[in-house]
Amino acid sequence: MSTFAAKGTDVDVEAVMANIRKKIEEKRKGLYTEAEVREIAEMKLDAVLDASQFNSDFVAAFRARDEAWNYSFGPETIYASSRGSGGFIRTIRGLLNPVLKLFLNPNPVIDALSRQADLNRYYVLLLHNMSLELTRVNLELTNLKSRLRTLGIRTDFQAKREKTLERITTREAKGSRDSRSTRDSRDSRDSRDSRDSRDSRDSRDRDTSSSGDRRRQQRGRRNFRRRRGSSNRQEGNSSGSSPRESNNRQEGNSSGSSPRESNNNKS
Amino acid sequence: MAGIRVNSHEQNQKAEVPSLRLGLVIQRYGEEVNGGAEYHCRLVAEHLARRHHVEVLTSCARDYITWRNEHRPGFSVLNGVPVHRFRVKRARDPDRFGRLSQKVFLGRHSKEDELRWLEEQGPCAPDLVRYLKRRSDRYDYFVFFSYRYYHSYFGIQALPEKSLLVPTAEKDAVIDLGIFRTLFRQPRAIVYNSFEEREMIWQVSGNRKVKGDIVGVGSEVPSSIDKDLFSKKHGTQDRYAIYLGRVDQNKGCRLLFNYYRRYIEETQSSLRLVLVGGKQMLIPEDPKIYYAGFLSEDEKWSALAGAELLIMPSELESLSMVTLEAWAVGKPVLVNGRCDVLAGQCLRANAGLYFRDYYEFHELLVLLEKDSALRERLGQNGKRFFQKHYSWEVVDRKYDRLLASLQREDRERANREAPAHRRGLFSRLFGSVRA
Repeated sequence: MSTFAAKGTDVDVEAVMANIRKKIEEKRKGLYTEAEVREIAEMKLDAVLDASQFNSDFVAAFRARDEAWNYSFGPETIYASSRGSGGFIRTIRGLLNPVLKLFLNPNPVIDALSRQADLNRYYVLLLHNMSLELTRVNLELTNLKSRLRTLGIRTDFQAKREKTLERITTREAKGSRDSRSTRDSRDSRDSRDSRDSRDSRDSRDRDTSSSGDRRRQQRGRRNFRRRRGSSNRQEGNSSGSSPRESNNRQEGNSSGSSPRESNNNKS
Repeated sequence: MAGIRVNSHEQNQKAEVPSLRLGLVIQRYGEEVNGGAEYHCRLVAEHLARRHHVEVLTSCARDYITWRNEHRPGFSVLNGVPVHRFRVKRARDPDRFGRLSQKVFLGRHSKEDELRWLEEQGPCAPDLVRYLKRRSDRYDYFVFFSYRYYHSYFGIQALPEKSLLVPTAEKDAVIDLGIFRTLFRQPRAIVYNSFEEREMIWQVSGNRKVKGDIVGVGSEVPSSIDKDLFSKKHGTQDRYAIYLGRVDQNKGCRLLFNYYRRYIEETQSSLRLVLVGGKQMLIPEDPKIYYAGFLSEDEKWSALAGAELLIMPSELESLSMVTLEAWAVGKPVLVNGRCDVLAGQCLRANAGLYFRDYYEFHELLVLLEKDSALRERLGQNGKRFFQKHYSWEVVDRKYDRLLASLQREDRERANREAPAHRRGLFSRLFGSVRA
């Protein structure tokens, strides 16, 4: 392209690039730029999960109300009295403990139950952590799904954009071709029209110049038309004449004379 | 033009460096190795070996994805340069590497995760690092190529006072990892490839105090090139644009194929696309695209000289040697403008155009295809730029200057740190005079 003037002066890459970008901008007016499209595609997604769906104080709340859902079990629990402090009964049971041990060993039971109480606490913690992890994974999944959807939309958008651009380019090329052809045809029609109008003006001049002859001719024409009109009505109008001719004829029939004739009559 | 500002005094000053013992450390090495940094290292090694005692320390791997041991470990000589090869402890596990990459680049992670990722990325060659530590006395300096691999990270950690780093850094996610931020502050000097690379590393690590220079690498341009050799051998009579390098998705080849095919569809241009280099992806079956494969040096230069222009679609480049080679033979380039280095080089050299999207690619290729005077002028600018900044004379001089300054520093430090009581009477009396 000669506009960049590689001859004579040294080439300036910055100027070439600026020129090209300007040219592209002019071509692509009204369309999103690449940067804008990228910006839209990279827009941050809104939060997809409500924070209220998950209680982060879950463990703290459970720990605070430990006795409400868990039991506490110590080595002395089985000897304690259910009525108040029960110091006396506890003492008796303690004294009889060697006798009890002749029948069964309560120690493994005590161990197992106290261990179970601890395990219950661990389970709560484990459940909490698991649900926390699950929520995080769920959030990630939703996020990824949305991203995937956005990418899909972006791809569709790009495809549409490409198609639109192609259509615009083809339309522009076609448009320039059409405009050239219509201009040619308009020119030829104009010249034809001007020729016709010149002819008619000439004939009108000729008409007005010899009014006596014209009146005679008009009378003759009127008589001829009257005769032909009556014959047309009898034969019908579809006798191989062109639509324009038949229209003129109808108008002529309705008024009894052609418009030009009527004008002439008035004058 | 915003050219490279080199102090003319410094440029003309010939650094007198006595012969040094240099160890060049690189992840892979060999003539068959198809990689920018590796080729860069080989060229530098072969050139430095003319004035210094150079040894290359590398792994036994040939493939940069699996890092399988394909070479025999031990000592060998390649083009006059001694090469020590060390075994890779374990090949890369792609699944594990993928998982770690996801964690390191997408999620929250610790320094340990980054180190695990680095080990998994490979080539995990602890023997090489052990050798560096054990035999460090045998070398004056080590030049580490490619910051992102195991050998550079652990090698520089082990011997920071003897290390020079050629980072070959690209603008990708790896550079943002925390472990590398500290790494860039550790070596004695950094040999940058371009202004953009230096700027990026400065921004990431704040290592402005570390000595460094923009050096790059030269290229062995043959004195005479047979322009018809390629077209005769491959039967390509049409005009063509050329792509040189690994045909790989990571190098922007998919983008190139898409853009080029769309361009041909829209313009019905007769310009063909010739691809030269190893193949890492499927090439679309298109009569306009010709894959020439690996070529000999003569054929490569012939193909380049016969092309209308070089297209470089890669977004991640620290220098792009093929761009310099195209300029060396006076050919214009059309590069990916999303790569700051390539766009910057085009602007500085005033020798290439750069696209950021298809519309620019289209317009610029139309322009370059039709305007032979513009092509000629850009090519000539490129040739001048190459000769001024990337000829071997210039590159050698810059390396020598950097090494000389390190040696000077070392001498000064040795003098400072030498304990006075160990000196003899004579040196104690006359040491200050000598200094």
